[in-house]
Amino acid sequence: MKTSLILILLSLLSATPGFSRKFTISGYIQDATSGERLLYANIFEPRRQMGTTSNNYGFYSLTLPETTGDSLTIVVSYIGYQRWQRKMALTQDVWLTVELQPAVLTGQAVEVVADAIERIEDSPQMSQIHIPIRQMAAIPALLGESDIMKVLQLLPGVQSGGEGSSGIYVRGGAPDQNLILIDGAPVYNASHLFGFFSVFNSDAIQNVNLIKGGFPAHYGGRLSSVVDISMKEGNNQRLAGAATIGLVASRFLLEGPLQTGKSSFILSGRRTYIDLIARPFMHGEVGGYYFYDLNAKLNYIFSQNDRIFWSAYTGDDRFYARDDYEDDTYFNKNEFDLGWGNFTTTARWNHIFTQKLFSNTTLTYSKFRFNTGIKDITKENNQRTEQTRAEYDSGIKDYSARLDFDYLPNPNHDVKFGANIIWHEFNPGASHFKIEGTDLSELDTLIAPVEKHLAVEASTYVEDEWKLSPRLNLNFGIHASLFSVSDTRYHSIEPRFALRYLLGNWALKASYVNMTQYIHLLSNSGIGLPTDLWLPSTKIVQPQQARQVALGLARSFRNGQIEFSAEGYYKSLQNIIEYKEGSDFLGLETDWQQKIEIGQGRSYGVEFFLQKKQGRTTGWLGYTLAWADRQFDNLNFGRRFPFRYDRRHDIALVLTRMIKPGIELSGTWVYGTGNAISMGVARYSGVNGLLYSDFGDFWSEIIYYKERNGFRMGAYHRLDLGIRFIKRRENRERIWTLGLYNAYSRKNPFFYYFDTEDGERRVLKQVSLFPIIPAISYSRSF
Amino acid sequence: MKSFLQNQYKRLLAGGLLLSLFLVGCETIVTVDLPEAPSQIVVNSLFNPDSVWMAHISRSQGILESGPMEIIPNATVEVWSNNTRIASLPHIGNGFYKAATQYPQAGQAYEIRVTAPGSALATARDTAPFPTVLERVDKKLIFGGIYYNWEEYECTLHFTDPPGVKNYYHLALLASETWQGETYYFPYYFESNDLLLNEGEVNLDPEHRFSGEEAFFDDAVFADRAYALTISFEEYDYYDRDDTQIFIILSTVSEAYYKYHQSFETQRTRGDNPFSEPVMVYNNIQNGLGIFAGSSSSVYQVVQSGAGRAAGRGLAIPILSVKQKNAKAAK
Repeated sequence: MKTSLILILLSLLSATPGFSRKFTISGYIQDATSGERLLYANIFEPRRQMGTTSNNYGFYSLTLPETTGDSLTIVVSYIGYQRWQRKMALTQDVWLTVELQPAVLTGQAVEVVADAIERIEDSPQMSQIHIPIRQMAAIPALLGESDIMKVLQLLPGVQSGGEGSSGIYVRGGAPDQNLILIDGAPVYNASHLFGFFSVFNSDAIQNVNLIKGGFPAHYGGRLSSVVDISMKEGNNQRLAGAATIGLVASRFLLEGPLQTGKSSFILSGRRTYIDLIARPFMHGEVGGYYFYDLNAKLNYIFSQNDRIFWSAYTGDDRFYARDDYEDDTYFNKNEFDLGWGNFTTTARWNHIFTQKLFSNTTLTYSKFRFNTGIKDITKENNQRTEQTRAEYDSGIKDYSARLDFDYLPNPNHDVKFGANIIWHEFNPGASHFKIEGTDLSELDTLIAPVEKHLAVEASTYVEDEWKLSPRLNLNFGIHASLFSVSDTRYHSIEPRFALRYLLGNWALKASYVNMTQYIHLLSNSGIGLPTDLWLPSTKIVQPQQARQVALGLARSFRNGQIEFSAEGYYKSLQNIIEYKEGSDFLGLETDWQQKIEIGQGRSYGVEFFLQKKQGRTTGWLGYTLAWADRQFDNLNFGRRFPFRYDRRHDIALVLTRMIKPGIELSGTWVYGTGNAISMGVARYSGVNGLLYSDFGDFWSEIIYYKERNGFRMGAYHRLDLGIRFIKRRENRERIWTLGLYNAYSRKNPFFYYFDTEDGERRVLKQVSLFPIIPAISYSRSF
Repeated sequence: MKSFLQNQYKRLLAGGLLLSLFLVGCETIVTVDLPEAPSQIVVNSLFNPDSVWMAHISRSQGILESGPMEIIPNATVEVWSNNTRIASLPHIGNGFYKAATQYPQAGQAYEIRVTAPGSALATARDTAPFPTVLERVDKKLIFGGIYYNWEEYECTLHFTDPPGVKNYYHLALLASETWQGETYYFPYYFESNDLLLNEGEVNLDPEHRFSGEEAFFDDAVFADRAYALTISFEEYDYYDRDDTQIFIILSTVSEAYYKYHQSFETQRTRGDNPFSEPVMVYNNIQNGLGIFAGSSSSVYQVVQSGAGRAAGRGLAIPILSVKQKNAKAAK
């Protein structure tokens, strides 16, 4: 019965108006020089005004009426590539893999160009931005380390946490509400060095897709955004490589065919080296910090219909300090270690069942771990007298299996359906204290929770992008999920809906989504420190939920060279968690559930985005006017308070200009209202204890906070400038990049603290990081 | 050892984090202006039917001001109930205002009204809950005896949670000693394994989960029913004067009292921990700051001096409240 219904549904979807025969053109869109598949490329038939885009794997399928002669024109375009066009007949199904040539217009430098075929007003999808990695490379970056997360922060509705931070806060959401995927595997902590750099080495990235609202049904599990990052596949035509030397880190990339045109590999890495440079200058006390990333990917094309991929990412941060003292009879050594890192790996199988049905099977494993410890060893007369060790561990592991189908029965429908299952293993923090010695009592204690939380999350979805008429496009679907942890079960049915209606040259867009998130991040700081704990929903802590509505207008100008969009949104959040006042991740409570408060939040605002995608000058101007607050019964005495990253005004201007062949100038300017923090404004006497009148008085001082997050830090603004000198000869390229971070050396607030001057005068001091910082890097590729 | 390790641990981690930040940054420190917070009346009045009305009135200081808090010696302080003035509290020195003879009554709602030159009327309302009677205290000598100069006792406190309302409790031990004719009272240290007093805290020594001089708890785990709470304490008699008296005081406190104390204590103990959010202290004064909150107490004397000590070992004797003593004396 079910099978019959599905067949009837599929046949209905396949039916299109008219009685002419139809045939399907399908294939892949790929880079002519490297064989890399190109995601979200545009495939269009201008006469019939019908088209589609390549999917996450570069596959497309377009079904059109039969055409004889050369009256059918297929046009393919993609930003940064030359337009491809062919006249053809369509009298049978056609397999057509299109290879696009990179748009090297000047012989010296790459200019970002594309034909304006897919316009912003064509798609019902709103609140979504694809950012090809080429576009990111030119944007100036802190210490010359180009960073995709920091580019995302320049988009409207996406905010940075603070100076240098690579965390993102999307439409008033918290960092844990962003689903960050690298080749489909979730990355649980996307930052190095406490947020100053993201873990994504831009050399290894092919494409970034950001969705901040109107989520299609195939995404789920997070409330606020999806950052879907696709790694490069590797050049399957020739061996190629690149090396970059920068101020703080060096990078390399090597890629090439294992079997030309059929299989390829890519390997890239990055490591900082401040610790290595500083080591010769340290005596006695040794300390340092470094991080590294390694990305690897293999892919193999079995046949036109089958392709497999394997990719992996690993990255670690490590901070260490050692200090020792030794004389004739006494020896003492202190060690401190702090480390965290991610490991993800993905195996994928693309299979094309028919020219209209594409499938992808994905297996992923993802792990994040945090570990810190101190060790103190004392020896007297070569005998160990005392050893103290304290360690703290936390982390999360995911195993996942996923099956996705993409069914394109005709140009008016793009149906996606599939299912996903994730096994989560949470380790929300265990402290281990061990004392051995002659003077102290022996102690070896593992502080709870000893047991790990195991949970299963399963989901299924179906969605259709339906072109109802030339004016009206719909994307509607449903995402259903189940979550099981211990003896607790939750389920969720989440409708998703988006539409576009053309009003003349303007597209009116609207969307409504329900989102459910079964995992929580317990954060002390909100800036994405590795000490933050990933936790499951439990009987006490229910899943986070969000509802978001958005309404927008979009229009392109000058044949799509310039795009403008304005979106208003309202988002409500339920069951979000915060630490109880005064609690922190090191508190030795038996159960993390006793450390938290459960509350709600809301955010609303309007975003404006003006983007120029083509020409010698490209870039964008984004402005967000937004409000975000939180309400917890036991925080701020139940009153609503501003979210720490409630940012009323957020502006980003990004410009890149090719001033002459081989020289590219770029600049960004950002402005944001200061973060909301809790600041004591007064002091007063407090009476402590019941024994007030008869048995004595116990007085001490209370710091008065008017409200939680009731104080605004100073506004943040900064100008970054960069210039790239590019020389290209045949397949070789060298780039000198010079940059100035914070070009006018604005002292942006990082944090505040109270201090005393002249013995007794109390003052408030502001600490600022990063004044004007020059950067230089040299990159060579072959 | 536990707190030493924790402190070292946090300090090292905080230092590590900051050092790491500054390794890559070139931090600059500048002094910034802070909007001035206008000074407000501070009212502190914790009332109990055992004591006459009393309050302390002072002014708040801007966060950047230093020096001692300014007391207000010329305020008008009154206590009202049902639109009737119950008591006027004259200034008795050093910011303290005290009624002559009036006592609060349990179960009665009161409002304090404070006016001071240059400040708007500050008010607050609260009620002293009815006391929860310490029905029985079973005392057991765990260690020591007549030949030792210290002893360890275990006491089990029996009481019943008043039904129908959410109740909050405060438990404290007080000791008194007499020196040159003057009796001195001081808080007394006790321990307990009862999770009621621990609120999830894990002590590395599982035999003594709670240790301190006072504990607050609510009735979440024994609402509307009887409860037996066991504590232990040690009694020293260093000078062999044998005049130490120890009292167990179980107080039922109002919700405002509980919130004030819990938030105040959390702010005080949080210190400058960089990993936790600042704690806001509960305040129920309209047009001002501070606390106006009630409590009622049950008192048991568990160690007594002199001959009573020798005769009464193993007994716990309920003692009269201060108010009852005063009433008796008046007769």
